[in-house]
Amino acid sequence: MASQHYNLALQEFWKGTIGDATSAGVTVKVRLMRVSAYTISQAHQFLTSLPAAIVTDVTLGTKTANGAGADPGCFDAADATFTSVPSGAAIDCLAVFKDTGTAATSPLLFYIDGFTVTPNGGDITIQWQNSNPFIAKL
Amino acid sequence: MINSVGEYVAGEQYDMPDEQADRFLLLGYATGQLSREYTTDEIATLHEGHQEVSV
Repeated sequence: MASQHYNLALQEFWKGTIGDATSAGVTVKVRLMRVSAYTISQAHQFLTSLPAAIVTDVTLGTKTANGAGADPGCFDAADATFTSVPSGAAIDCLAVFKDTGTAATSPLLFYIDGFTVTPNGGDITIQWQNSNPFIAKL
Repeated sequence: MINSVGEYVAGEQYDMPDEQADRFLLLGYATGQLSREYTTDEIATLHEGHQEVSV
């Protein structure tokens, strides 16, 4: 699989129901996953479709909708650090979602793979790309 | 916070226990004032196991 948007999220972006994902009032989180435990499907819409969290999801901050300022349409945020990730099999995908506080209504936004990191019990920092498309571009 | 770390959100300010704050400062997750000086060995220990991955 390749990194991609969830189409049902795009639908909701068009309908305006996602809200301003860059505002402090909209909580956007990241979940680390393993492709062995999750296969993306465009039928997936909410957090309930993802496997249980390996480690506490990270809440994104310093969010922008224009990358580093010159790339309109690019969602970016400060790097995300997951603390004390339990040792185990390689982690090789993640999902970005809007957290409404209820898994059944928390929409999935983007899916990213193409990386791998084997947790050793220490922290793992996800460094978002510093150029277009940053985290993701609409 | 420079990075988002768990429930701590980048761009926000937090009061937290000295030990945790110092760890975040020494690992580059946050800016602020250390509660004490740390030895090179202590800093190296803090960095053990820390991994960064670009996506």
